[in-house]
Amino acid sequence: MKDILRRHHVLKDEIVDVLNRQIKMEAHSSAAYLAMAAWCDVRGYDNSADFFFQQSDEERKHQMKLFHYLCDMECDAVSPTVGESQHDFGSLREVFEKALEHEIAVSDAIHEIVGECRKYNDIATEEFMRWFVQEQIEEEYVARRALELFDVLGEDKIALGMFEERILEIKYDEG
Amino acid sequence: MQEEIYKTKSASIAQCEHTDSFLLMYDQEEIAFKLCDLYVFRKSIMGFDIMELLESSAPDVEIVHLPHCDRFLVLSLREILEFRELLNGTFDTLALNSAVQRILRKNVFNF
Ligand SMILES: [Fe+2]
Repeated sequence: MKDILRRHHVLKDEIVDVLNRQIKMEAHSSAAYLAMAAWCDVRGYDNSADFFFQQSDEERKHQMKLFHYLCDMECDAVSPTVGESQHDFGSLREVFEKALEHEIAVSDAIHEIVGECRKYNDIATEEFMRWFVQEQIEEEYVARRALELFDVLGEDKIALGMFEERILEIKYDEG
Repeated sequence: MQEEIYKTKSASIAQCEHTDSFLLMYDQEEIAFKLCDLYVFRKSIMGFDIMELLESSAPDVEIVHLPHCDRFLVLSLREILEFRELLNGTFDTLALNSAVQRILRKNVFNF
């Protein structure tokens, strides 16, 4: 009997489900960073706002990368609904703490997907997810470095100014 | 060529190798589904909360929309349960066939 399932629905249902869940998480991240950007922007932390606007764009790209993968595999990609994001923060430092928390949660989720791929012996998706694993190493690094800046500089007015000068300079360098 | 995949008391699903599609035979009718449409159909059938439908205040029939052919099925609880069995059986059989074909594929390169 012809294997129509394999021809037209390349991934296992369980893998489709976890990828759709990740699409939702990336969409939520994008929205959450947008809220952080707005908080920073209004309070005059322009560079921090730029930082989060860029992060928001990145998360949207992650979402689309997963979305296209599901479509390419002829599987159902679900356009996600996004819940409320946190809009109120006590301080600039708190915003960056939330960002790091967020990235750690995303890393955990990505690692769980890789675990699922191994469980179902889905070598192709595991390979596809490798990019996300690397990306999370970088995102976490940047979020952590930002927080460390507060430890070094403190949080008074001058320190926050110096933080603003440096936030866009943080780059992950593998070398 | 058509091959029956799964059959319940009053419905069956066959695979049409020529068009890569599936045929639902039910109530003297034939409805064709591409694989993605069959997934959509399964999702709506599995989406019903059976316990809720058992409550006396629930309506006697449920309406299922088939967007790929813009048709509606009006189903009783008994029919919903039968379609559940039919679709579970169908997808289990397809998965089993996939597993068998994977083993057979190894013989494609027989050197
Ligand atoms: Fe992301």
